[in-house]
Amino acid sequence: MAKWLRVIAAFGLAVLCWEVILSFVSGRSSGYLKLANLGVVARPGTIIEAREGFAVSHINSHYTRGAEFDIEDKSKQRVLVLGDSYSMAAQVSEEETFERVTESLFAGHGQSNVQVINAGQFGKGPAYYLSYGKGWADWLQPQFVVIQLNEGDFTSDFYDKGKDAYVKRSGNELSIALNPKKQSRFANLLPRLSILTRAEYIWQEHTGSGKPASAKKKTPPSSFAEEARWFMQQAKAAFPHVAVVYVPTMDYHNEETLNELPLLEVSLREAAQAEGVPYVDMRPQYAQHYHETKQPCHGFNNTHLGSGHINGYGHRLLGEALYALLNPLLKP
Amino acid sequence: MAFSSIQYVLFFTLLLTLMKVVKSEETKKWILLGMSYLFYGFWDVRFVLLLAGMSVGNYYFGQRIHLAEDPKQRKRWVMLGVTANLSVLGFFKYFNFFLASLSSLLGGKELGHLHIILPVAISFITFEVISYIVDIYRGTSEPAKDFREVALLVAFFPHLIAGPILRPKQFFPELRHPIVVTGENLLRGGQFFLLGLVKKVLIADRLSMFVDEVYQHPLHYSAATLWLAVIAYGIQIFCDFSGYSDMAIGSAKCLGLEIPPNFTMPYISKNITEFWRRWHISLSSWLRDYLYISLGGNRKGKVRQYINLMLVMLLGGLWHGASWSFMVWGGMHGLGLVVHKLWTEGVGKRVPENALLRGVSWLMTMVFVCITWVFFRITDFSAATQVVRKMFFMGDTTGIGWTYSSLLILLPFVVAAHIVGVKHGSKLRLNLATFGGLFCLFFILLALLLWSPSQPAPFIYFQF
Repeated sequence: MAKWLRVIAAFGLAVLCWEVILSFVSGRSSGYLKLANLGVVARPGTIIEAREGFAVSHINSHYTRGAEFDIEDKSKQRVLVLGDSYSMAAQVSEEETFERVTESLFAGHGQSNVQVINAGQFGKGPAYYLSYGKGWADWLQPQFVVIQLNEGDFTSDFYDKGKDAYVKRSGNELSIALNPKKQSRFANLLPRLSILTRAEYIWQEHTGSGKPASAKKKTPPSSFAEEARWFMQQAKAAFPHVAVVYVPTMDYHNEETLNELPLLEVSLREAAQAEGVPYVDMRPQYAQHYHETKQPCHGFNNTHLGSGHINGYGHRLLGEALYALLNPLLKP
Repeated sequence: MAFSSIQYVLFFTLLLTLMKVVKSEETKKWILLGMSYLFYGFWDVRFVLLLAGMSVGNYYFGQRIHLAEDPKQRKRWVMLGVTANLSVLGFFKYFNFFLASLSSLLGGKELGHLHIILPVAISFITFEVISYIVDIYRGTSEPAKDFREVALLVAFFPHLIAGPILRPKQFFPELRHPIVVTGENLLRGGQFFLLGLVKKVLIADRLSMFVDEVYQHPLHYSAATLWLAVIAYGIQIFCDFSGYSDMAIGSAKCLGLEIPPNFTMPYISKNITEFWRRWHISLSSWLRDYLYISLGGNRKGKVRQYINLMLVMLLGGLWHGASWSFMVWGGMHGLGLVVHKLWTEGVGKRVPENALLRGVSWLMTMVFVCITWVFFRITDFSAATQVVRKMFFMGDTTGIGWTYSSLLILLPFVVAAHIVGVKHGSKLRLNLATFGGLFCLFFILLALLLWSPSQPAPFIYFQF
């Protein structure tokens, strides 16, 4: 009996030690909530990201990253940023996120009343921004909405039925469908333990179950023109004042082709022009930065420098570009 | 079937069960041979025949050498045996290389190219069978009692793919002991295996994520990043290869068989001679016993000794792979050994040894070893030269600056693995009867489960 107790106690202590270690070296989640108007969002609390970069994020009571704010404060000009993990930016510190960079640039130019709200949520896609995005806008009443897009939004997330919102095609018609799947009762509890978050991550890595259904098929569309045009039309219809920023994926080892726009980016640029949606593709800025400094805007020292999420350089340049885009559009 | 795979766990469990259930020692050894062939067949079933053929051939050569009474006849048989074995290796590994080299010597004349699949571990196997027949010829070892002993010397699965290179003198007595699977054996072997797994999965595979990325486009990175990548590769190859050796030793220990160690803290070496006494010991001692001594060693004067050293290391380099950069790697080590010999026999004798000198010697040895790894890792000689030039700030040194943080985090673990690898047999051992021992075991198992990279890198030495 004593022998088995010793075994159990030793195992328990080892698990406890790893829980503590993992919360700092792997990460910690605050858990998730499914809300009727916002879909699945990060629960208020602390998120530690350590697998890629290292940063501590605080999710406030409005389910957005950053300090608490008063929703009734009418003196603020609010810019709502809808996006995925690139916007949430859990890999970098709060001050480094492009939302804070833009906000501080406005403040530096005498517009300290401009508040840029980081509503980025992990794993979201275009259909989410167009559906639940309206829920965010109705709730937070922004003067301007910025939608952040990236390659995965169109190559894997667009039609992915595993997302809480996705695009459905019937004939030539595209429409948004919401995923009726209910959140597991345990989903709110389990992700809080780092050891379980890590185990889930390993399971997904080994089985590929974390990848979107369309990514597994590996059949990239031959044209994005229809999807891009539809998205811009819907964005314009959903939000009276909207802009789109695109964070490209870059192959820094092919420096000569860094400035060449892939098919998707051409389609998005043309669609934005046709629909009159202010649009910024970060490719030229990121390419120029790499030409000048040899430092990629993607990746971190603890992962692959050059791939993955954007790093501090990427956020700074995106923040500056967003400021340049919004400055003429927001009244002082 | 890599040691760090789930297939191996199933394979080994099955083998242990059979060894536990079967009572006859004869049957156990046949099972061991059959399972070793099965293990090899996992890579390419066609080459199991080659493995068996080499065993039959060398068993025959061994018998003929042993039975021949005339020394000339004995010599003829050993020459024939060595030539036959080297021909097999030469055909599979070097045929296309020599063809390509000859083609460039003839000013690019097209000489064709054969599509030859390299049988896994052919270099290790060839050296083992050569040592078998040469030892009989020299009278330092008795011939095998039966064919099965030679077949197991070649095919015994723990060492089959990447060594250590076994010697008949050491291994045959082991085979003549009963194979006993006891709790004590499992405990001892299991801990060695676990140590190897930690080195491979937690250190080598994690560093490969950085090393592979940088070496894919080395000239895109800054000089400082190249230095980090070179150091990381030095650690990676040590943990990968010594990890494999530990797992091989551990697997053999579980069956009650002993395999000699292949590494004894190589990165504490203070000179290149010491490095080769500590690094890949089974290869360096093989090269010494069968090549260096056969060439005359140090018996024919100083100049000849230095030439012999260079030749041995050049061929040692070529043993690793059919490419000029492996030759350069071997040549650099040969030169290092010659320079060290000259130093110790000349100026070194008059310099009093102190801590500063030891520190400088260690640093110089490590820098030298790391630079030679560049030629080992990059098979394109001119690309490797460009990397070394950039590392020494010759030309453009700019590029992506990547300070891979895991390298710094892993350093204490590398030091620990270095020490534990050597002390494990004697002092450091987990006592699973205590709370502390159990805690350490669970902690390590959880580390392997939670912290192993999702895409394990193949063992580096599998390619040889």
